[in-house]
Amino acid sequence: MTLEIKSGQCGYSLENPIIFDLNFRLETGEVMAVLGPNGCGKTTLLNTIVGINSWQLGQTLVHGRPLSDYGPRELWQQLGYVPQARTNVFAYTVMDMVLLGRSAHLGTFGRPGRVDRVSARRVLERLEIGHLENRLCNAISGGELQLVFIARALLAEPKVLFLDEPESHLDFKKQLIILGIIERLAREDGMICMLNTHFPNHALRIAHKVLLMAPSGGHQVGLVHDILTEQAVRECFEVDTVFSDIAVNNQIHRALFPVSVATPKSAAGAAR
Amino acid sequence: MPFSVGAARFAWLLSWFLEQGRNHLLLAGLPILLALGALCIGRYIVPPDHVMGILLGQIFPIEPYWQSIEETVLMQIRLPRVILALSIGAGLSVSGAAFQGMFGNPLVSPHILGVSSGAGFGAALSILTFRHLAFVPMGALCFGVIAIVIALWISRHRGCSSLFMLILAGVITGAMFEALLSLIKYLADPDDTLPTIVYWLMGSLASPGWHKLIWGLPLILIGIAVLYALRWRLNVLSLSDVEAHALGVNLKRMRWTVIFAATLITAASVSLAGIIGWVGLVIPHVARMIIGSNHQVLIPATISLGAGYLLVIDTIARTSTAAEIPLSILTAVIGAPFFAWLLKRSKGGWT
Repeated sequence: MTLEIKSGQCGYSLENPIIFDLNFRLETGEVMAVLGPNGCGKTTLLNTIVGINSWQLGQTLVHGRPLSDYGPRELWQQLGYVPQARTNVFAYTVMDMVLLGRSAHLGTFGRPGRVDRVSARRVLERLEIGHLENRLCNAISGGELQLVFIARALLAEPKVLFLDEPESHLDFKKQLIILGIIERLAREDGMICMLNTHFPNHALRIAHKVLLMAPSGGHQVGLVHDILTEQAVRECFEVDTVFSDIAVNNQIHRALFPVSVATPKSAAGAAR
Repeated sequence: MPFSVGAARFAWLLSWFLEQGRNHLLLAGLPILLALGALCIGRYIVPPDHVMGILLGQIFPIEPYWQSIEETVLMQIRLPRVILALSIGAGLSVSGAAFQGMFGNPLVSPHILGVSSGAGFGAALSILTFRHLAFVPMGALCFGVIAIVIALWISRHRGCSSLFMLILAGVITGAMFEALLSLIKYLADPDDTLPTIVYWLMGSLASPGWHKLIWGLPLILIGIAVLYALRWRLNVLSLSDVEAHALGVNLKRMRWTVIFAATLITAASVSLAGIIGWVGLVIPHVARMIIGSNHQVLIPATISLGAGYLLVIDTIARTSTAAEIPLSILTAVIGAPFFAWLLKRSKGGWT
C-alpha cells in the first residue's frame, strides 16, 4: 500500500492557497505527522487529501490509483478517518457508534450483523475500551470518545488511517495511549498513519516523516530528524526551542523544549 | 440428549424474547390491538367477535353470524378510516424521525421544508376554484411537490445545498405559502368556501372511502418502506458531513432519497387528511425515550407508536362528541400534556 501526493495545491482561494506544490509518498507502516500552528489549514489539507475537499491542483494516489478512480465504498474500505472528537446530538451507544464503521462494507440497505458485532468487540478490546460497549457516547470522557472514533475507523479495516489532532485536548496519559495505538497500528498492521498534531514532541516520538506547514503557505516535508530543527520550528511556530536528549532505561529520547516566544532579537540569540 | 439441547435452546430463545424481544413484540402488537379495538367502537358498537368474523370472512368462507349492517359499517366506513389513521400516523412520525436524524436537530418536524404549507395552499386553492372537495387531493399533492422544489432551488448554492440552507429555504417557502393561503381565505366566501377551507386545514380522517385511499395510500406506504429500509443508514446521516463522507456514504444521494420519501409521505398525508401537526415532532421523541437513539430500532418503534397514537386520537375524535373534533386540535391537546409529563419524568435526558 502506498499513499502519494503529487504537486498538490489546496485552499479556498487560488491567490492564497494553504499549501502548494506538495509532494510526498508514504509506504506501508509509515507514520507521518503534519505539524503547524493553529489556523494554518491542517484539517483542510487532511480533508483534501482524502477527497472530502478537492485539490485545486494535483492529486492523491492511493496504491498508485487516483482517488477519482475509486467509488466511495471502495475508497473508504482502504482509508479510515478519525475526526476531532465531538459529541453528537443523538446519544448512540459506543457499540452502535463503532458499528457505523462497517458502513463502507455494507450495501445501501444493509445492516451490521453478528460477525460485525464480534469484530467491533475485538477492536474495542484491542483499544482497551471493551467495558464501554453499552455506555452512551455523550456520557464518556473526551479521551474515551476519541478512542471510540478510532475504533469506528478501524472497523472498516483501512490500510491508511488519517487522524485529525487525535490527542490535542487530552491529558498526558490519554495522549500516550493514543500515540501508542498509532505506533502499534503502523508496526503491527502495517497501516500508513497520517496525523495532524500541535506537538513536535509527538512527531519525534512516533513519526517517521513530518510535514511542517508554515502560516505563510510554505512547507517542508521529509524525514523527522531532517526537517524538525530548531530553526524550522522557530520559522513555523515562532517559538524558540532547544533540543535535548533524555536517557531513560538505556534509551535516548529526543525532545524539544520550548524556551520562549520568538522575537527578532531572540532569534539572533538562539542562532549563537 | 437432543431433547435437552432443544430445551436449552428453547429456554434461551424464551429468555431472549423476554429480555430483548419484549419491546419489539409490544411495539409490533400495539397498532394491531388498537386497530381491532377501534373497529369495535363508534356510534354503532360492533362486538369484537363480530369484528373478527367479518374480517376473516373477507378471506375465508365463514357463515355470517353478524348483521349485514355491521359488515357495511365496518368494511365501508371504519376499516378505511382505521387504515388511513394507522398509515398517516406512521408516515408522519417516521418522516419526522428521519428528518430529525438527517438534520441532526431534534426540533425538526416533517413540515419543516414547507411541503405542508404548499399542500395546504393547493387544497385551499382547489376548494376556492372548484367549490368541491373532489380535486383537493390533487391540488394538495401538486403544490406540496412545488413547495419542496422551490425550497431545494433556493437552497442550491454552486450545485450543492447545505442542510442549514435547506432549513432556511424551507422556512421561507413555508412562509410564502402561508401568506398565499391567508390571501385565499380572505378571498373566499365567508358563508360557503371559507368554513370548508378552515375545517379541511384542521385535519380530519372523516369518510375516506376506499376510492380515496387507493391513490394516496401507496405513496405513503412507499415513503415509509424507503425510510424503513434505510433505517440503519440514518445513523450515518446524523453525523457531521465529514464523518458521513468518511464512512463511504454517498451523502448527496442519501439525502435526496430521504427528502424524497418524507416529501411523498407528507404531501400525500396532507392531501388525504389535511394538516395534522404535532405527531411528526413528538412521536420520534417518545420512541427515543423508550428504545434509544439508534435509528435501526428507532424507526420501527416510531412507525408503530405513530400509527397507534393517531389511531387513538382519531377514534377519540369520532366517538367523544356528536360532531367530529378536528384532529390537529386533539393531537396537541392530548399530546402536549402527555409529552410534558414524559419530559418532566425523564428530565429531558433521552437525547
